[in-house]
Amino acid sequence: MLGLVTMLIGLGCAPHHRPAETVEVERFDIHIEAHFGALVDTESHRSVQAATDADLKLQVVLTPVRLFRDGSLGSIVSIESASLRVSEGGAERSMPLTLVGRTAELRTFPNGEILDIAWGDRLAGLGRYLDVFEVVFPAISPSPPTVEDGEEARRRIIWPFRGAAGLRWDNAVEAIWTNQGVRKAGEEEAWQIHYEGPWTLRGPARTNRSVTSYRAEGQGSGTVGLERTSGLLVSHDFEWQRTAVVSRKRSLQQTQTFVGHVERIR
Amino acid sequence: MIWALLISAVPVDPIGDPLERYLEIEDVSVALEGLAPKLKACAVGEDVTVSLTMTLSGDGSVGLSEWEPEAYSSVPCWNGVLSTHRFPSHDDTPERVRLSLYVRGGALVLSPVPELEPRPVGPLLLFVGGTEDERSRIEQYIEGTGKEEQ
Repeated sequence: MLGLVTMLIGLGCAPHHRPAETVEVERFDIHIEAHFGALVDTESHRSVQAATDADLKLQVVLTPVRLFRDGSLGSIVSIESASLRVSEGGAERSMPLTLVGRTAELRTFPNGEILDIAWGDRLAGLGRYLDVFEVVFPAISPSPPTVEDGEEARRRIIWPFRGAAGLRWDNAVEAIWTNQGVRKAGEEEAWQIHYEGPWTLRGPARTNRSVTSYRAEGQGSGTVGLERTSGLLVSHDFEWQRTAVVSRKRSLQQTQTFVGHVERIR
Repeated sequence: MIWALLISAVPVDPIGDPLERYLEIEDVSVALEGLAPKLKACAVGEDVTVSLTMTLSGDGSVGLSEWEPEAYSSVPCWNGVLSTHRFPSHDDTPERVRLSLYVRGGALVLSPVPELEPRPVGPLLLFVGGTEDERSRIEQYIEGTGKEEQ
């Protein structure tokens, strides 16, 4: 089954399209240093939580499992290891996590463009936090467009967060991608594709009792390394920042900065 | 031609429902239908309503079961049934399920609607690195129901 999927989805010949024979199980180390500003009431400007620095380390495995009628591919994202340290007011501590063993299903087009993240809510909330650190998903599946050496092209980086009925928000980075050519990345040569663009997030969550609005504005930039021979992601350095606002009867705002590095593990 | 044959051979998913990686209440209800005959095979005594809280581990086994009243005569037999029964496996931490067992006139009936204890996740999108109580405080602040609002 996987072999057939492999043959069917490899249609591109551009440097960073995945060739037919290279769709495989992929394993990544992810390290994100985040700064979360104080939680501030947008009306009274009162702070209800102090600023926090956080250091998240993950090891994830991406396993292709099924092909959809529209040509998109379903892959299981499994969290194999996870650690989170936070620093508040100079005091540093480890946060207990229940992420290891959890999974989500990433549905992407063959170029990596994210269509859906099923079970993303199981990686969210207390002890999991990937609703906040959701940049993990585009970090491992950034979907650069086909762009010739030295040239640039536009393509949005998009991904949703879905939960129980009525909960959904959508992220979009209006990215301009620039092919910076081939560089040595460790033992391998990799195309370096730089991107940057404004980041927006919109989405309501409706329940019988209330409507919650999720909004964010910010900026995303980074450089994706794609193995020259296979077109597979080998590295991704990024710096994304946004101001997130969650509103129900009250609105709370938080600035969030994510500086991260993704590296493929052999 | 070869491509057409290959494409026709691949079992595509036309609907795209998420893979069953986690338990939902419907899964628990279906699994309980399989459990009911085994529980009914245990002899029952006087009429009683027994509440059962159990944790379902990722491998489908029952990790912990609590009965109320614990001293009811059928509980040891029911515990034996639970120790060998397998619920659907899942990728989450152990899930807590609550249901009632009704013994009436020598027959056993399970509550038709079990409860799958939800995991509190809010507030989403904002980093709140404290305990569940701290997260609850922030959630209530947004909701306008916290102490600070009164």
